[in-house]
Amino acid sequence: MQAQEDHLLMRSVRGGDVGKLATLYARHQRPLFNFFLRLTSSRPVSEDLVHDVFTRILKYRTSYGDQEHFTPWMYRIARNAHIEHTRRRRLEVVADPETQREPVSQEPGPEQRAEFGQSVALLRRALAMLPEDKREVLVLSRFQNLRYEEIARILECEVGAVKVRVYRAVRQLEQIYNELAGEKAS
Amino acid sequence: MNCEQATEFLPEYWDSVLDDIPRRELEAHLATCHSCREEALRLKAFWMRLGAIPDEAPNAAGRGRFDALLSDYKRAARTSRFDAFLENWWPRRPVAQMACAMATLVVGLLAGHALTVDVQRSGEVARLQEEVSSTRQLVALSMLRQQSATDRLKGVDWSDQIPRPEPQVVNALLETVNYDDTVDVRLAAVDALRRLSTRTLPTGGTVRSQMASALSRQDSPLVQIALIDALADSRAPEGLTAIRRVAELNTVNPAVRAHAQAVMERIGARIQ
Repeated sequence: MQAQEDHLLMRSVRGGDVGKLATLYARHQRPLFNFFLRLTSSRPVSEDLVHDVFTRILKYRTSYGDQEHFTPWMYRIARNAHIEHTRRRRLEVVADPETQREPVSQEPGPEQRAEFGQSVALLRRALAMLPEDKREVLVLSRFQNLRYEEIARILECEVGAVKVRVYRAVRQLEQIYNELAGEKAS
Repeated sequence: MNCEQATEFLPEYWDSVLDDIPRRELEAHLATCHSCREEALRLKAFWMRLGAIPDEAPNAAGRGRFDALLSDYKRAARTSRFDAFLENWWPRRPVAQMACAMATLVVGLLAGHALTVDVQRSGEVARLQEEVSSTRQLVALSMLRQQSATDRLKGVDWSDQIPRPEPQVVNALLETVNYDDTVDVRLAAVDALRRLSTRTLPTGGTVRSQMASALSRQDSPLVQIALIDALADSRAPEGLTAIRRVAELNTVNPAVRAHAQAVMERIGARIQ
């Protein structure tokens, strides 16, 4: 239902009613921000990339086709924005102290909370160490609520290839996580 | 269903969104294959654990930036008619044309001077970058020859960080694709070679021609699919010939053959 609404809104934007983009922004800002956050591990960079995506949507609004689906189209733009960002900053190590903080869980006690925070921090670190292409397909499939057909459209490949890549990515991520957990324990 | 086909369905199985028929086939396979069952259970637990990474709320300032973007866009749309008027006016005034030409000449001279100074400064930076690159090449070569698969994977990662790797590193990656015992290491090497596909080798031929030869030697469907994707990206004739051969061979894994056929169709090369 929301996909159809998004499509109609984007068609209005394409037709010149650019004010409708505000509704699309309100709906997609948060998932898009978290997509970039899991790819870059940096809040400021993710904020900039979200802004970049909506700037591009405005700029290329006339290229939105009648047969498009808004979410995969937006993620294709997001992916290109991220690739360009990575090219520009390939040699730069992003170390944003703001993202190093550990989330606070409200229910468990202090010990459980510390253990939970460590586990999440370790997962984040392992995710950041995963090669970019694998991190991208894993984030799209595990966190963005996208179907494999949509991911295939975003990555411009076969659905079967997406499934194999997701499996490879999670397997490698688990390996990295175990290595980090081992280092931490020793 | 065999072990490799089973891997394709696991993430959907973990999310309980797998269709009935493949789910039943997968469960039948897991019931009989101890190693797959063990891996599926272990990775499912890890897949679920990934859900512990929470979503974060973006900064409220983002909304302000977006509103400003929209306002600017609307204002620009209003002023574009005035810009169009200026564009029409500009070329018809010979005096203005002359002034513009002079200004462009002066700006060009100044920019040329500034760039020359930058080139001299960038010489030192380039030398430093060369030294870092050379160290990375040595590390990558050494890691690729290690006994441990994890170390060899790290070696592939190192090679990927070198902007322009030496021929020895490229050859080591090609040898890894052809002869490494571990599928994961071979896959990583294929990924690393993708960006180097147009490189010419000292022994003749290009990296992509070597990757095309490697496709016929592979016994792992995962590596074959990765090579097909890499060759399809390069769109080179030798790569397409190798993919077409796989698409026509009845002896290769059906999933690989189907993937090769789909790739050929996608890039518009008909299978004769």
